[in-house]
Amino acid sequence: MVNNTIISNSCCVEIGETLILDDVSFSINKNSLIAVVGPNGGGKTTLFNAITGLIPITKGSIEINGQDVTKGNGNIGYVPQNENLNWNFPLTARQVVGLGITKNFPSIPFISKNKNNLIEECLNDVGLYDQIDNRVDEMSGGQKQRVLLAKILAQGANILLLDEAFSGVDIGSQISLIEVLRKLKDSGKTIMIATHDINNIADRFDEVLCLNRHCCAYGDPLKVFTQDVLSELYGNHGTMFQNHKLGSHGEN
Amino acid sequence: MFETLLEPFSYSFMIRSFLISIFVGISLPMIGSFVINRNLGFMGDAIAHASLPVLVIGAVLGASVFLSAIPAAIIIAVTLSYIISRSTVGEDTAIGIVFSTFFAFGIILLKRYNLATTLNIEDILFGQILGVSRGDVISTIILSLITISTVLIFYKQILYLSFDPIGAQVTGLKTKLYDNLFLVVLSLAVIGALQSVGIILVLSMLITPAAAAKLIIKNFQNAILVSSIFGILASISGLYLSFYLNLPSGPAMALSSSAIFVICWLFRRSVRLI
Repeated sequence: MVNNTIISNSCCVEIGETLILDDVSFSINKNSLIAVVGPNGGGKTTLFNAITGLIPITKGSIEINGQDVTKGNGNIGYVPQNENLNWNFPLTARQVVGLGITKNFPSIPFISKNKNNLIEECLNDVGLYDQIDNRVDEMSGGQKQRVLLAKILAQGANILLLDEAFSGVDIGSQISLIEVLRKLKDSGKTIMIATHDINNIADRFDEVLCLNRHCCAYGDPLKVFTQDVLSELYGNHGTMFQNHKLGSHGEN
Repeated sequence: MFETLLEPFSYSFMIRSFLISIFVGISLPMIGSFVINRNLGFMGDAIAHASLPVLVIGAVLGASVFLSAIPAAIIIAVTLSYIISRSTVGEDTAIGIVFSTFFAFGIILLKRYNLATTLNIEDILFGQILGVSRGDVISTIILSLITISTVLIFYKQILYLSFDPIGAQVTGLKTKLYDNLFLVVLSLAVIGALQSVGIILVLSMLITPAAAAKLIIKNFQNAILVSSIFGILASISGLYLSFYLNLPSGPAMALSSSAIFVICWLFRRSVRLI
């Protein structure tokens, strides 16, 4: 039995005429907390979309627990970037977490006792049980993230992907969120978070994946942030991708 | 007082009108609660206008509004959904182009086939609930029941894809299927209400009661319920105004709906319910 949860083998993703991910390879162990860092347009969201099967992989593959992503992903919970959610809806934390147990078949719109227990348990896990009947759109950025985290826990996901989870979240709330995520990791979850915040990464995460259209580095945060990697991630490197074109994927 | 309230019921046309009002008053604001939060008001307006050519073709073929409504709803919903998903000019622009094209085509068909006896343009534009037949009542009730039951049965699926479309898709929810179902039901509800409030005023029942409820109700589920109550209140009070003041029924219902909104807006800070 492999101990790796997510394995990316030379994954390439093209969107329209643009090559977004090029030859990305990494292997993520179970029960780990991973930061995915990189510049805007570096492919963090695209990588999450590829892992969840939302967009097709042009070349290479991604396997989740030994199974190709194209063959189902019920094990993954995804919290998209904040602006992709419709905060016009005046929903309580209970209602949002209840959405995590939505299936394809119809249901009567009243939550059963069992489901109510699950919702309460998941909100308790993220430390927001006392806010169960409060409106989520009126909560702080950090609390919103925790409610959305509870939603994917209710879904039963073991792999949690959070896109820009710290965006617009103050430092105190970031720490609370990290504490919750650490507890979830200890209870057996594998968690990946896309973030722009590279401060305190070593304190917060087990490993870091540096992504700028290709995988610049992956491993212990204390070791991977070399000058070369930082320059590759955020520096001026116009010539870096001169061989990376649609269909060629940098083999030359 | 009671006599004033009961007098309209001595006329069978008023009983038919009240029946239609109640069902339209429930179904349109119910789906309207999703429409206002998804910013689809323009889409609702477009559906109403775009239904005209299909209703005219139905009338030419001798079909009732009910029989025309179902294919009309599917054609319009699927066309709009397809064009929006493929649009490179922006959602609103695409809806605007489809809206005006369909409506213009409908007006030309209406004139070309000289349907003044079966489809009166003014009734279609502004509604004529007082002139509905027994068949119209039955068809409106059926269309409204389809809308109400679909929203109730698929409430969670529609809510999930409206709130978090990406998260919903990742869980394996067939978001495209449910989104198209939502648009078809929205079209059915809008077309079913054309006889009461007409193409131009349909938004007054689709979005105004839902927007009023959102001002004073904290919780989405309760806001749906209250918006339907506001819808019934608006349509029935509009009918009374129409009966006693000899006003056109569609605009009277629309103004009642606006009055409810203004009252809720005035009390929005002092009243924040459940």
